[in-house]
Amino acid sequence: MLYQVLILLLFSQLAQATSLVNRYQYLSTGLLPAGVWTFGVSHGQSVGSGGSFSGLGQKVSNQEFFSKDITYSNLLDEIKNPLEQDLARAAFEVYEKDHNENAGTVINDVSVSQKSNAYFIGRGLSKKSNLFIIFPVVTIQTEFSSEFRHGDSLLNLAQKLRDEGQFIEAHEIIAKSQDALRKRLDENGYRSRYPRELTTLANIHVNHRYAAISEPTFQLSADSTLILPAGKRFDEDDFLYYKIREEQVSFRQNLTAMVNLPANFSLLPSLYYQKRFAFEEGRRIPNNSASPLSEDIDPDTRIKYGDSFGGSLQVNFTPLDSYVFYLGQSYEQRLKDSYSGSRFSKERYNYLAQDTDQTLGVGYLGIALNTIEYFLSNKFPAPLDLNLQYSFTNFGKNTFNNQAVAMNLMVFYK
Amino acid sequence: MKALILLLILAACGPKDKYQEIPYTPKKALNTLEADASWSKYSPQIDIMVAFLWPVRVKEQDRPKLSEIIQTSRELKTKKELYLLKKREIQIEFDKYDCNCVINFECTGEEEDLNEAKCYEIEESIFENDRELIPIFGLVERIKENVIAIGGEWLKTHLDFRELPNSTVDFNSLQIKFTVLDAHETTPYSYEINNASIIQEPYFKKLNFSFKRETHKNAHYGVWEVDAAIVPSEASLLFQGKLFWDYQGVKREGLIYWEHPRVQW
Repeated sequence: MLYQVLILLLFSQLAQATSLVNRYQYLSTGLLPAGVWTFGVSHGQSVGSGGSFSGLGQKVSNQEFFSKDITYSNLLDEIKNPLEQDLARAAFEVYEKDHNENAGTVINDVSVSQKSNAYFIGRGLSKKSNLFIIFPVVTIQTEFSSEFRHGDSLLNLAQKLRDEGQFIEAHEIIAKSQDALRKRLDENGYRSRYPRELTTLANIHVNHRYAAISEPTFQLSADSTLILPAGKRFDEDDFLYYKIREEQVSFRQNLTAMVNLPANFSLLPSLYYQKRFAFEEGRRIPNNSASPLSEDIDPDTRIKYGDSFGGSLQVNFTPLDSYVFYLGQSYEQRLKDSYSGSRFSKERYNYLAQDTDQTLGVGYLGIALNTIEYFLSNKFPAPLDLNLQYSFTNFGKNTFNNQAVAMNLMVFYK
Repeated sequence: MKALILLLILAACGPKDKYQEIPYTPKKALNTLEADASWSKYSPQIDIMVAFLWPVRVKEQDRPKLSEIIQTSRELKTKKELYLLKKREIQIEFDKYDCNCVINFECTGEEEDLNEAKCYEIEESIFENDRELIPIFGLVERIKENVIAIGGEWLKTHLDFRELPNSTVDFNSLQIKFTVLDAHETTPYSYEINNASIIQEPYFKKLNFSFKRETHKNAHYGVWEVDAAIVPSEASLLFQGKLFWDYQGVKREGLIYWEHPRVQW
C-alpha cells in the first residue's frame, strides 16, 4: 500500500571545532631587549593522520568518528513534507519497525590536513616587557565523502514491500538514499560545496609579555594575549563549518616559569586560561541529535564558545648558549560550547553543543638554534633564531589524532 | 614592514581556494519497453480499482486511521489473491467433472460419468467463495471511509457505476480506458489515455501516464499523473502506485490500484 519513506542521509559532527589541534608548542620566558625588533615566520603542518579521538577518548578512524547510526525515528525527523512523514510513520507502525530500531549508518569519511604560516612582528618595549603581533595564515585541506549504508532492517523492509508488490515504495527507500546528502543540502538551502582547500588569515594575536621575576635561576613571565577574530567567515549556509575564527574577541593569560637545574638542564612549567565571550550570530538549529542539517535558522543565536585552559611541562637541555634541545608535554581542555535562543526549543539549541568539549594531549620535542651571540661576535652574518619541532597527539577527546612538524624562524633588528 | 604586510595579503587572499561540489549521481536514461507478451493471459478488463488523494496534511488524531488504511490495503490485496486462486481451483474441479453440462445444461456430447452431487457441491463452493467478495468489497469500503474521514478525496470508479462497462487496459496498444475515474454527483468522468509508457526500473516495470483532469465546470482542472508498478502474480496482474494531481503548480499525492484477473491458465 502507499506510503513514502524518505531516506535522508544525515551526517553528524562535521562541524567539529578545530580549536584544539596539534600546533606549534614552545615554552620560553625570554624577552626581547628593549628597542629590538623581530620579524618571523612559523610554518607548521600535519604529517599523517592517525584518525581521531572519540567523545570517550578512544582512538578511532576518522570514518568511525564522523559516522552515525540512524534510527527510524531519525529518518522520520528528516522528512520535510508532513504528509510523507505521516505516511512513513504509519508504514513503520504497520510493518512493526520500532522508532529506535537501527535503519542504517551514515558513513562520513572526513580527512582534514592543515598547514599554517604565522607571520609575526615583535618589539622589546622595556627591560621587563615586549609586544608581539601574530598573523596566522592557515591552509586547510579536506577530503570528504558521505554515503548511507542501509541497515538489515531497512533492506528487509524493502524486500518485504517488493514481496507484497509495493515496488514503488521499496524503490523509494533505496533510491532516495542515493545522493541523500546532496538532496538534503538542496532541500534545506545549504551551499552544496565545501572547501577542498582553503587558505585564510586566522585570528590575530596581540601578545604582551611581562617578565615578573628574572632571577638567574628562576624566571617567571606572564603572557597576556588578546585574540582578535579574523579570516574566513563561515555562515549558516555552509554545511562544513570550520571554527577557524573565534568570532568574538577573546583573552588568554599564560604564566610560564623557568627553573634552572644542574647540568645545563632547565624545567619550564606553564599554565593558561583562555576566556571567550558570548556573541550573537545566525545558526541552523538542528531538529535532532543525529543530524546538524536543518532548515531552521535563528539569526540571533546566542553563542558562547567554550573557554579553554591547559598546562605544559617542558625540559630544556642547553649544552651551549646557542642550542636548546627540548622535550615537552602539554595538556589542554576546552569546555563545551553553549547555544541559546528564543525561536526554538532549548533542546534543539543544545544539539549544537554536543561533542564540542575537547581535550588534547600533545608530546613534542625539538631544537632551537640562536645565532645572536655568533652574530655579535661576527661569527654569523645574521641574528637568527631557528626552531625545529616534531609533535604528536598522545591523547584527546573529540579531536583529531595527528603528528605535526613545525619550523620557526626569527630575525632581529635594532 | 611593507614587505611583511604584502606577504600577508598575498598569503591570506583566497585565489588558491578550491571548492568541491557534493555531486549528484548521473541519472540513467529511461528505458522504455514494449508491453510484455505474457500479460495476454490476464483480462484487459479491470476488476477491483481503488483511487484516492491523501489529504494535504493528516491531523495528529487521524494518524491511527492512516495506519489502518495501509493495513487494510495489504489485507485487501491478500484476500483478493486468495479469492482468485480459490476460484481457479474450483474452476479446475468444475471442468474436471463437466459441471457445465450438469448445472448449465451446456453439454458437448463428450461427457462421461456425470456426477451430479459432486457438481452441486462444486457449485456450492463457487457460491461460498463468491461470498468472500462481500468482505473484500467491505475492505474497499473501509478504506474509503477512512480516506474520507482523514480529509482525503475518494475517487469513484466503475465499481460505483455498475451499469457502465469496466475500465480496460489494452496490453498491446497500452490504450487505457477509464470508464469512470471521479464523478460529479451522478455524472462520471471517463478518459481514454494513449500516452502510457512502460519503464524498466531495478526489480520492476512501471506504467506511467498523465491526462487532463475533467471537471463539470468545463475549466482546466489540472493534470492527473499515474506512476504505477506492474505486478504480475499467479492470479492477477496488478497496477499499484501513486496518483498525482497537479493543479496550478501544487501537486497532491494519492494512491491508485487496479487489478486484471487472470483468464488463461
